[in-house]
Amino acid sequence: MKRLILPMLLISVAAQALTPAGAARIRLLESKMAPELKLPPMQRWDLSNGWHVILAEDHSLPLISAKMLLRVSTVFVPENKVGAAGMMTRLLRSGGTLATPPDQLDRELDQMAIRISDSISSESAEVTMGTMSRFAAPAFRHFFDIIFTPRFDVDRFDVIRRRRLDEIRRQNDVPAEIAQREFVQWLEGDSPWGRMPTRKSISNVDLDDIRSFYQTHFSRGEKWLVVTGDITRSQLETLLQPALPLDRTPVQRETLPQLHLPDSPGVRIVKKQATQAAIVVGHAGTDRYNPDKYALLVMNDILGGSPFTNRLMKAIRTERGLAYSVGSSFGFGPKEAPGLFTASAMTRAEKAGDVVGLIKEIITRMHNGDGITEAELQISKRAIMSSTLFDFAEPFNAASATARFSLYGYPEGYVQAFRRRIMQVTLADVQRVAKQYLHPDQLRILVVGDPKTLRSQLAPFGKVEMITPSQ
Amino acid sequence: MRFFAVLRMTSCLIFLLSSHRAFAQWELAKSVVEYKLPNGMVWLLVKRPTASVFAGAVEVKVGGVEEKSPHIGLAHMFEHMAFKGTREIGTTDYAKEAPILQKMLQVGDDWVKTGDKARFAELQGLQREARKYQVPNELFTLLIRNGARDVNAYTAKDATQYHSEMTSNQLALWLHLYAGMVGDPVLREFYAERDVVQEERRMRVENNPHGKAYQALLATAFTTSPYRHSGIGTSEEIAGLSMGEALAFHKAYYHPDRMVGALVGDINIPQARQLIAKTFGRLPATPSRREPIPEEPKQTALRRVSVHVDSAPFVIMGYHKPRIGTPEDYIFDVVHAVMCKGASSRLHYELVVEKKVAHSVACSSGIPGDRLDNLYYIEAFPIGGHSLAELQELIQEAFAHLAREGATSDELQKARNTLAATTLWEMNADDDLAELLVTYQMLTGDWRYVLTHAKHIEAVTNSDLKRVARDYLIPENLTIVTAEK
Repeated sequence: MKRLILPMLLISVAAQALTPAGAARIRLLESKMAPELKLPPMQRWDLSNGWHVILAEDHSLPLISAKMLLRVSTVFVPENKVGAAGMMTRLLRSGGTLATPPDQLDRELDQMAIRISDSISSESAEVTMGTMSRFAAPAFRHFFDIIFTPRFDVDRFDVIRRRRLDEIRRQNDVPAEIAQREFVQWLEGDSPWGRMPTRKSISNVDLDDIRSFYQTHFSRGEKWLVVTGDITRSQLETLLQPALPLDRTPVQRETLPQLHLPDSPGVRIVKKQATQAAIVVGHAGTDRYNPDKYALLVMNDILGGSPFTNRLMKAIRTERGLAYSVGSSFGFGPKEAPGLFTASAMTRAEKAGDVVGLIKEIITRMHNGDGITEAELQISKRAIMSSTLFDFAEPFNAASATARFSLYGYPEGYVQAFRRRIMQVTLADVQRVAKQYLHPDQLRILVVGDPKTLRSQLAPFGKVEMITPSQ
Repeated sequence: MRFFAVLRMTSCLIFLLSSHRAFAQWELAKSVVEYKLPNGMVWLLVKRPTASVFAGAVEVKVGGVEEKSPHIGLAHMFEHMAFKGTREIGTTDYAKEAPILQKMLQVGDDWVKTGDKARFAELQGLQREARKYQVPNELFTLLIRNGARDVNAYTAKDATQYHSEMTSNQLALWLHLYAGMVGDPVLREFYAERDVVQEERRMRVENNPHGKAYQALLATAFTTSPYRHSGIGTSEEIAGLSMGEALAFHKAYYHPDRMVGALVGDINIPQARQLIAKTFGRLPATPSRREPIPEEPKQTALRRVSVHVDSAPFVIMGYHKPRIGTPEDYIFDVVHAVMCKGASSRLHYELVVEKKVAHSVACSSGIPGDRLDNLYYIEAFPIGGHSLAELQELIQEAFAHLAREGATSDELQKARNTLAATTLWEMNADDDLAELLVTYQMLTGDWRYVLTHAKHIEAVTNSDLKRVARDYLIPENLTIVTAEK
């Protein structure tokens, strides 16, 4: 059955700051239609060993990208060894494979300009590979070897351990980075979701911990293989043949612990010699399965998410020149752990109190639904609608997002449903979620900078606690 | 300097901008439609199968290179002003707003010169009056509500670039707005925006250890070249900028003969050409100011400087080298691939893996720009317990070794493959390709530089590497900045 696709008509917004001639010209030029989202063609199938494959062919350039996405979480690392999971994924690539020792692997990959990188978070891990298509065969061989037959070379482990310790030494060099990290620590630091690596926890990690995390957690994760670019399905199937026997570990779904976020307000100064204060203000967000997500996305766009056309930016940067960098984000976590709502800004140290006051006032006004307009709503909805077009324009991004949606357990056709839900958001929805999910009385206020300048400025917001950045 | 920063930025700003310019033969040569408007502006159009969206970029050959002390930071300041609207956008009644802006121009210039508080109060009063007709960020709003994404701009030493992506059905609007930004900007909220730029400087330079050291490197390595100045300006330099100077700067340099535009993605080429003619085509065909740019004299002895930072120690170094388009510049691309690109590159392998003395080492050819003679740049971060002196010696010795022995044939082949792959990846996304095209058209006068690059790299021999290392990668030609508490 052919589904009838109606072009999405976006309500025109009366321009506010145009001369009559300018407005007339803009009216002629603006198209009122939001284009339909057309996904790049993707093939999906499952392999005998349980991998889910997503392939998007694109022969416009002689390049291939691949990604293995795994359901695995850093939260299972023991408390005294936090950081072990990240060290493990780094050692996959740099520690060599059973077939190829690390020095040789480095040389071979560089020689063919094959790029391999890795990352791990509290919900998933990724190993990503990029190659020119003429090197597809060795690239895929090394890629699978790195994931399934890592050597975990002891000398390379030592390199990683030393580098990781040095990163802890360097993690307090830039105020904005301290602010983001210390804010998460403050709200989530007591749980496995928010624990951060320290000198001590990294020093505790040995090669057995790396192997143990790999075997017990990483290798048992459900796997999605994303491949895009200059490759056909039959070519890929040939390349997959030798890899399939490497992974026979049955998949094991682990239960994630619950995260309970505090709802009490607070004020903290993190000590740092700096002429500019880095400010983060916020509280708990929600989970990504919450049906209010769509209205919350629109609400946050209006508050501080959309570039420039948001309230925080207008008041703090444009009108008062108090900051270069300012904005907000509303985080959506897994069922077990809500994300965080945060508003951030950087301003000269002597204006930190003024900026915290403005942020608090703007969040409070939003919470009260003050003056949210149909125009703000329309701008935000159009911006979100079009951003999905860009998110899915490149085949690799589209296929990667498809894999991630599957990992999240979203239903088929999620992105189209997402677009419909965004279009359905009303002014009343935005007002309701602002009231329900923004809590001006629960805001935690964290400022990185010199306590001598900051302390008295922050006193009006509550009892000021003073800490040094974590090491 | 970008017009606005994405929150949660990483600390290393500069090294994402390293120059990538290799190329493997792709059909780009056939797909680029290149032409010049009667007013002198060059356009490069590429139709690609991307669904319903396109990327656009406009580059103006004006940057720090065009600035003269003490008016440093004007090019960047102007980039911020370009977003403030035009005579039709950002105002409800330009006829009433214009006389107020004219008064602000005089009072503001006077205040900047004299520092008179009464003049400042007067200026603030005028700004309040102007606000009656202004609605902030209208140009942005028009872009965002019509689906633009990654709306941003940056000012480099070599050029200023404005870019974004948009849905294809809004191409006419995009061209209208971007032509207005570069051709008909109105300097609204100039003095409030100067404060925003001061905050940007505090974030990028004053409170960023790396930014601080980088400024010291440029100021020490260069004595005469405009590359010696900070792109954003010092606190005093920014405080000395006036609306009058910004207007004069625009008048001198924002002409079509310095502009290049590119559109890449789901576009209809004949329709795009018509729309370009009606927008950018209407910019007057006036010539921009041309002035000789001072040449940097040859450095004759090692220069050292140390900066105080509230961070763990690191060292940054720069060797003088020739500008883009010279035979040596291609050879430096090969030097770079051999010495510093990838896990098996000489510096990474020796410092990080073998000797375990550095957390990391990174390099870039063409700092702080490519238009003029520039620097081959190296930064290295010691592992705790190892000194900056140790790192400097090892790095200098690695270049001395290159001068003596050259590279292996494997290393030369690796360089060719790496440079070819890098350019291919740069062309993968529409926005990257648009930026690649305008950048090399502006820098070299012909975007085909990216097509011929591979041929030049193929021709580089081991004796070329040794020669360049002997001539340039020597202590007399080096500046070292150490950054410590």
